Amino acid sequence: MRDRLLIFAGLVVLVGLLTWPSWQGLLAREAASAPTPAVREGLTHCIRDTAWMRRHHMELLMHTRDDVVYRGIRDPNETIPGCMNCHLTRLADGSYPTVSSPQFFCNSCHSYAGVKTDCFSCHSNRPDPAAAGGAAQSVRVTAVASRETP
Amino acid sequence: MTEPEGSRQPDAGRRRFLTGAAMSTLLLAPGVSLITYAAGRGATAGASSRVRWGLLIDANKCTDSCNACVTACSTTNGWKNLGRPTDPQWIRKVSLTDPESGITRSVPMLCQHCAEPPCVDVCPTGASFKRADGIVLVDRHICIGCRYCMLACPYKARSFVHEDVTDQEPNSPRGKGTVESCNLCAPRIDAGGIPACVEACARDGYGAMMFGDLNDPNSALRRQLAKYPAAQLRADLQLDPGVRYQGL
Amino acid sequence: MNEARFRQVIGQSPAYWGGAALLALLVLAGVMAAHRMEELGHIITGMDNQVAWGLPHVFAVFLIVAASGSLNVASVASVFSRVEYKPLARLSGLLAIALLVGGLAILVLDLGRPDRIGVAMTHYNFRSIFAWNILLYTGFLSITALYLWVQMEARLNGYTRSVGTAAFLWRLILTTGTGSIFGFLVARDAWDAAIMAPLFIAMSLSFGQAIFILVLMAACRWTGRPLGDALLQRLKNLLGILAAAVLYFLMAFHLTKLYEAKYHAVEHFLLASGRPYGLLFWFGAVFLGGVLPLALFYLPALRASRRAIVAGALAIIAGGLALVYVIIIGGQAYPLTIFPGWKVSSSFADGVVNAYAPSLPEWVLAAGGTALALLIVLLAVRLLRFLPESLADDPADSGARH
Repeated sequence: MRDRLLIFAGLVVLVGLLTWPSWQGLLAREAASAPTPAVREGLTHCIRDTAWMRRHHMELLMHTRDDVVYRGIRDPNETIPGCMNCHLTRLADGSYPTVSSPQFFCNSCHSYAGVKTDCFSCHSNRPDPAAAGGAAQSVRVTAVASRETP
Repeated sequence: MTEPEGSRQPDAGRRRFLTGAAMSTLLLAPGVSLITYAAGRGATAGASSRVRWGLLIDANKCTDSCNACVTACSTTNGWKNLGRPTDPQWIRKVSLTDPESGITRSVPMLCQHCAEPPCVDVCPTGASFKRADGIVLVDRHICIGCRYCMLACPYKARSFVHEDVTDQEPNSPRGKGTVESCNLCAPRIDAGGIPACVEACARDGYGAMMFGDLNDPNSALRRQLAKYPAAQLRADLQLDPGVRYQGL
Repeated sequence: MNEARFRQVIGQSPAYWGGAALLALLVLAGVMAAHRMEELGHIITGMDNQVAWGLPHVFAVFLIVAASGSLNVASVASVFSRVEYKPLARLSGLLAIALLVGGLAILVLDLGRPDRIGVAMTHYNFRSIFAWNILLYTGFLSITALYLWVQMEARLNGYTRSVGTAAFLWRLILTTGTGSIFGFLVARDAWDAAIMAPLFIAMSLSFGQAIFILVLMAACRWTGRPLGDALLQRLKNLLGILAAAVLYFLMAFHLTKLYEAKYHAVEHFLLASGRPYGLLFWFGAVFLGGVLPLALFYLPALRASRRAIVAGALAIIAGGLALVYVIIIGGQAYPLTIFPGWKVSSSFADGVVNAYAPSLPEWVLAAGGTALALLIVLLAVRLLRFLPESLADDPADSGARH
């Protein structure tokens, strides 16, 4: 019975420590808001509207991924290089930002949200040089060789 | 605490209706958004089981000094073999010598895209799989890097990525810790093209590699296969590979 | 006959805590090695595109195979009703779980993408014997844990026989599955044989029994609990038979392959010309794993010697590791026969014997997994009642069967 005070005090401290991130947010003077990622100039809309994309882009990516890998259904606008065509903006010196830099499109929200992305350990973070502006084919097909060449 | 049934009757009915309506909305809602998942304009038709892609390699036309297929694959797909045992090799040139006569041959060796692939049988997660049109692929999203398929492949077609990869080709994602092999240039094929190795061989004037549909009796590939006997590598294993060799 | 009484190990001596600390450090080192491998990639190991499974797999397969076999004593007690072994059943079960956990730890940490273990748990290709093995291993852990529980909970003792039988059948299937990992592969001349499944069962019984005897002798010696000679003789005699069984299956396996001209080249490589496979096979697997222990166990002069038992058990373990090394690494070192009848060469090591040398991260990972298994045993015997108070021979029923 004596220990009850100690136990409750300990529990309060533990819960307080575990929920510290929430407290820190509440106590912060300025409300931190989600960053607005940059896109290339002159583009008016994404393949889906922004609010939907914010919430569902992962589902879209997974669905498209299965379509591409298992069924070979490829929409050049809905590939990762296709996304890069619009969403990758060059830095001041003309180069593309690396995956870990805050200027990288995905990173701008993901580092704020604290969600690590695994995509770019395999996927290239460069746009597809063969495609232009996202409307063209993202795969180069030579006119010379056809399937009927003996 | 019980309540008299009769007095609750209308409210209970209303509650059930509202609950049912809410539940069906909840169930429908994901379905409504699923409709927007359908691929947009410009999507390719996808792989079909009506087709079976195959390759025919004519050993008589292939020379030891040429590496065009290897270079083309390596450039298109973004892998490099610098001679280290850990370097990947999706396609390689193999030099053959007949011990009795001394006759030599040179052929490209790549994933045979078997109809009964041992690598697909053994993969614990199903990452190694055969597509509807016969191309054997690795889904690198679910590959756990156990390398069992590398042990199982009779052709040593599979490579493991032993270190970080940077500067990938945009259409050939590849990364550390997963297994990879020739994908018959699936991105190019799906867009109506041919594999890079076949194109390079034709461009360089050798024409030792031919690509086509094994299921189409009128395709150039099938007509060529009908002209001369073509060997399957390790035919004794009865894997029915999609890659055939003439002139061996 | 007195009911066996079990008591926790006191475990407060400096030796106990020193041992636990040492094992814990080894486990930590193993985890750090695995972390480096995940961070930098397998390029820091000796494994490559020709020899894709290396030393970690040798140790993992050894531990997993031994885990299944170390349940043998418990099976003999519960399933075949040899009451003199009943007091050993709990330790046997504990050792089975510990060795399996150690082996699985090595296997999982060696994956190219160990972060995807969740994927492995949720995506199953049921044509893959490897996928079946994953299910069999995790199921074995559950069933052995259940087996331990029904033995340690007095009210459930009635279920010991049935759960023990289930565990016994499960481990036969499990070891068959482990042998089939190699036996099912058509690609490699050194494998592709149905006999690999019973060979692995014999190996599991031999290695598991050897480890069990060593752990039992060490535990009794270091806790000062008596271990009767008659019981030890029985365990030793059984181990001798099991080691001989391994020799038998090895002989049947290799003689069959030698009979077929197709396999002459690979057999010559494994048994004679391959370095170090020829040496590992004859000196390791055959001599250390079979001939020497049989001599140590059955020669009249050494029959009563406890040191001979320890030496023989250690030799079996060393020979076992050598055998698994020859099977796994030797099988990959020998080149594939893609173009039968032709001499081949290429830029991807076609037609040549593949070299392999284990690297430091692999050794550390392997040591870490082994240490984990031993640490689990060390801690468990202190926490719960696994060790019997006394295994002194009861003069009333030495040699009797019930």
